[in-house]
Amino acid sequence: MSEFQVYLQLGFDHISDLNAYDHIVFIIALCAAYPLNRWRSVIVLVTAFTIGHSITLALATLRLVLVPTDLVETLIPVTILATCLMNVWRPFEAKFGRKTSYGLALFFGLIHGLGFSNYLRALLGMEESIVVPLLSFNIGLELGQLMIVAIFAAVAFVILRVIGTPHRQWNLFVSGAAAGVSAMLLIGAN
Amino acid sequence: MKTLGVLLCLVFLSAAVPVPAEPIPVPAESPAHVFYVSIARVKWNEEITRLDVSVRIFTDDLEEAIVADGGPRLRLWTDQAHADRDRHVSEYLASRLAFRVNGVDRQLTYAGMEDALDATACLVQITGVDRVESIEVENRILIEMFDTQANVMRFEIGGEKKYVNLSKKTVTGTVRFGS
Repeated sequence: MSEFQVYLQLGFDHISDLNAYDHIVFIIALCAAYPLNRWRSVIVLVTAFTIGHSITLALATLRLVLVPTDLVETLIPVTILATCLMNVWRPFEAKFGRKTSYGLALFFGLIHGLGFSNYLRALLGMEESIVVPLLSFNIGLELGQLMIVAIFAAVAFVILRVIGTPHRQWNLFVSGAAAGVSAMLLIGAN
Repeated sequence: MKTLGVLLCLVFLSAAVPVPAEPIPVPAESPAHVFYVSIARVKWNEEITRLDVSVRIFTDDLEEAIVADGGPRLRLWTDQAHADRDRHVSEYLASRLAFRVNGVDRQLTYAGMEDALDATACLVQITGVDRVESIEVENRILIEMFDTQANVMRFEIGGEKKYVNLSKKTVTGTVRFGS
């Protein structure tokens, strides 16, 4: 097995691990506000999120930034809760524009990246190059995220197109559920 | 809108409630943010014919595993660290790691540990290794503790680098060097 394959798999397994569901819930919250015909926006959002967490993952693994784990674990559910509230607060995107949404996904990605990095940093020593581990771990995370988006889109297709539920109702249901999970995480993080 | 605001405030307020000095026992980690990985580096030091193995294990997981084996809580890297910590870590490694070099079972010699932030780097050695053709390794570190535990092993033998990724499904791996 090559170094690339090993870390790609670690990244993919980490994001798709049902025990580490906070990132999964965030991805679902990102997708919830978008009807199926706006899948391009979802891809841009998820990629913006990836760019965000790639930046902090690299900075923290290189020990250029150091943020206490406890703080990160409080901030991550806050990003989920904020995303859910923006989903249901209808005029958000109309008011602030798409670019703001993408910018926020990038910003939230910065916070999630700190969450990944505290663990990767501890395991990767400083004795060898960490470029390949970091890059392949991030690509693994992105692939895992796209898989979550694909599964979510398949479920959304059944709900919205086959059953015919109005998108607004679906969004409220998913965002509400995700907000509930994030509230529990927030209480648990303290 | 107003109801939503009130609910939101309640959520934030609940998070701000001060935690009593003796908090209700909760699992060492919240269910989120679990990253069950250990990374081992195996490097051959040709000049002194020795294999140096450094295994990075999350400190809390390592302590938990030793407690699960019936050992004491080691409280590594704190003021109250257990006096016999080296013996317990060494026994844990010996019971979960096995090396077969060039087809022969080899004894591991414990060589200490280092603090690596959230992780502990445990050092073990295999002496008298004057050539490396194959290494068969069995790694059961934290395997019975966590279903999703992954144990990555990186081998560096005479400039050749190889990786194996072990887990509950596959606890053994073989790497060959020189051809």
